[in-house]
Amino acid sequence: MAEPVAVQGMAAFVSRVPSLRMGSPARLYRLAGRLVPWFAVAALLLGLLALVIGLVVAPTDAVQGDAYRIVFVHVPAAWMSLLLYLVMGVFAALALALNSRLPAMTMSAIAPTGALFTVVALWSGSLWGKPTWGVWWVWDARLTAELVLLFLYMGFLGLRAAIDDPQRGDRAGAVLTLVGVLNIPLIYFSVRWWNTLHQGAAAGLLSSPGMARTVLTGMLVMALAFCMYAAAVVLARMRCLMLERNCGPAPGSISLELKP
Amino acid sequence: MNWPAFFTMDGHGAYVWGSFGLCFALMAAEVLGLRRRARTARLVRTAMKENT
Repeated sequence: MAEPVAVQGMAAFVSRVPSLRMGSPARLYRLAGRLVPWFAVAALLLGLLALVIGLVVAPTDAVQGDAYRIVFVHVPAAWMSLLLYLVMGVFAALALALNSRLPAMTMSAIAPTGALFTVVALWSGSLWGKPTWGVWWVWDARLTAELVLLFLYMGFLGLRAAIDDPQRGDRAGAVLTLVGVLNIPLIYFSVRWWNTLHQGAAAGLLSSPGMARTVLTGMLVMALAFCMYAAAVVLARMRCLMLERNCGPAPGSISLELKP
Repeated sequence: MNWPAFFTMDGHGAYVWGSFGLCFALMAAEVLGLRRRARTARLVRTAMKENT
């Protein structure tokens, strides 16, 4: 099968950069094990700080009352759902270019957490829509595209579970992910491209400058906490996947020496 | 701090706590599930090593 020129070029580039060849799986396994607790602690501390800012420090909104505090979960979760999908897209390109298992395993490690944040974004959006718009759900461009994102995550996970041959599964998952990347700008720019119910960034919420700064800080700290959480969970899941795949008789499984 | 006001969120308590609640419940479930999965994977691996 002929590879596209871009994929060939990427493979040539990656093979020349030592750090992109990702070293040995055993070393990666141990490195991930050392990093997980640090990311977990950072997530916990930043999360607590974000909760204090969002629920205690930030004042009540003059228009929406306290319902607007959903923003501190909703926006960071929505950001994470997009970011994690983009990261999956990068690893999908790497998986196709290198025809190697490690990037494909990284995709499998990211997908469940991406789906989690998408569910949180949709759910918190629905709970925010009811008191402010009067409805739980509308077929607005952004809401619909975010729902499509959830189906993409689910589709990836379903596809991986359905295909037994690991190499074919890796390829199919990577192709599906790359096609789905088109949905990301659609979600991001949907509020600008279409006249929708979902408000644009920061519209209607940041009425006074002092409030704006506190709210923005709270959202950013929570987003950082979610990033740390995602890093910890994805690395922990990587370790599980490495152990599990090594157990089976699957061809191309990674040989791994573990210290007791 | 005014605790009753904090919990009722001026009438929007169910919406606000429902959002934060699901988020952290799912995260806790993911962490617990991964811990269990890692433990099982390590046990299986040890058992396989002993058998070979």
